[in-house]
Amino acid sequence: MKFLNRVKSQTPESVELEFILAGIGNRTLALIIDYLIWSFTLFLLLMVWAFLYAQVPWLQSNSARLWLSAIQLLMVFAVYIGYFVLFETLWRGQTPGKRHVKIRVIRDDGRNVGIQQSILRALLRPIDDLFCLGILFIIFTPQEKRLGDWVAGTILIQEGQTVANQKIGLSPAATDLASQLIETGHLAALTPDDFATMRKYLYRYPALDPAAKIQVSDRLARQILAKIELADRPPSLDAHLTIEAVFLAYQQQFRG
Amino acid sequence: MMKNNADPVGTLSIGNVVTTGTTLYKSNFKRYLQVSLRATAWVVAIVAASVGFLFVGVALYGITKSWLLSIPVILGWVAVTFYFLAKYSTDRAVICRLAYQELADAPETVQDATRQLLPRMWGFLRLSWLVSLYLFLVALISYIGLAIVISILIAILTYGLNLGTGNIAVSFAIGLLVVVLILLWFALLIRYYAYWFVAELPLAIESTTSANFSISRSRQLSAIAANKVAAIIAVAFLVTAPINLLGNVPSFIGQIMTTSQSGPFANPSTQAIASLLMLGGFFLGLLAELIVMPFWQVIKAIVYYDLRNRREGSDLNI
Repeated sequence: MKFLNRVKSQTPESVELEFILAGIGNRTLALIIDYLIWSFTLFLLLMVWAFLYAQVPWLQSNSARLWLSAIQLLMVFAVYIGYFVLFETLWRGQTPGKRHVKIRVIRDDGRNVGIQQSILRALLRPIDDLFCLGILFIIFTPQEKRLGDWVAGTILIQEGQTVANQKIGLSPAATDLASQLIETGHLAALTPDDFATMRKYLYRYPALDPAAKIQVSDRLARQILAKIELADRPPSLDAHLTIEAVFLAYQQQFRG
Repeated sequence: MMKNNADPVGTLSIGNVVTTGTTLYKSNFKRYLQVSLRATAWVVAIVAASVGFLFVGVALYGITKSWLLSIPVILGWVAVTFYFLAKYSTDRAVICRLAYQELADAPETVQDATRQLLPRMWGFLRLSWLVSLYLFLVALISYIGLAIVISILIAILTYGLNLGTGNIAVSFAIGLLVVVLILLWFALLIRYYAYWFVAELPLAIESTTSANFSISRSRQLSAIAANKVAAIIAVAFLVTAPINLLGNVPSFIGQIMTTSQSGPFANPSTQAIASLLMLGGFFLGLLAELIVMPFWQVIKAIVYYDLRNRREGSDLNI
């Protein structure tokens, strides 16, 4: 996706890695989810606290009042900081919100975040939230760093979706046709980009509109067959099946 | 575009729609702002024309002492206002078209896009009215429903369970319920808005000239992804929060200053500062709208582009 920022980082072992940055949209969505969970947790804690207060008479005495407000403040602070530090440290840079939108905090050199980085990020979070400063920093800096990220030396990246994760259901008939195609078709004319397009098509096929299924499979099949010099394919061949078979044949021949 | 191994599916997630929106807007900021300025100028023109027609009407009445002459003046005012509103709606759609063409790798100039869309300007006006009307009806009906539900809840909690209004726990529970219900109401409104979110796009991109068709197509495209579109609206709204805050805080402070100090004890200098704040706030609000409006139009274009890819596979070509 050409509209998402990328960043290259050098690991301590001098290996260069390229990441797609998380982007303001994913980060905002993750924050919404985290704040919902966080405020619900805090709400429950304060309810328990209020219940204790009402039940234990000693807590209601004047001498305890100052202590109580201090403890209460500490509790809110601990949950606020603790939520992010705990999850980011335990889940290697992810919180429930970040995990849901598939983003992760890493150090500038590509290593996992440690507890120091998480604490720094969490401590500066209130300043970033003030007047939504963090949003402006993320939108207008090339590495999308809010203040907490600058200080902690961290970036947020999108988790790479590997092809293996994406399940594609192929019909059994495609396997037979594929072996024929390897012999007859000029598969070398297809580029890796064409292969990627076929994969996208097969992955997204179930969600297409019924009319679009016919239209798109017909269009793609004709384009592919013209390219592998089989444009005079038998008219009985189903377009979708043809694409499945070419996909399989290409995969077998060039992708091992 | 979108040929990358990190993107095996070729469709955009909720967050990536919004991120793509900010990137696209940033890299075309001048062009989109130019159109946004023109759109805002039509709104200013409506205000100016209204004042002008008022003057003409009053002057005519002063000379002839007859109300009959006010009829052509009012008709003229209505015609001019409709014309300017149609121009305004078209300029909004021009930004959608520019952004969509950019995504489809067929960029257009502002002049070209405007020339394409001007013949459909009355369609855009009709469309904006229809969408506003639908949203208004949904808001009104659900608001009445919400009010009824809240009253019944309060009645049950206070009288039905015979707990009385003095009980702090009951008041707290009612307050919490009302907050939750209002949040649910907002969610419902956004969920409905999601159906009509991309209504301008078919009219701006496809060969249709019918506002009704454009609206039903928006519904059809977003039908199975309405929750996703609603989430995109919520995230995009939060991302524009800094600019909206900047635009609204001064007038808000001004308002607090006037209302908190009204009556015989009002301090004249505070009142003066408050008026200045509110006037400045009005212009700041206009400025914020000027900047935020193209962002929303870009988001609409991306959502439409993504929905078409998902449902019609328009990006799948070899």
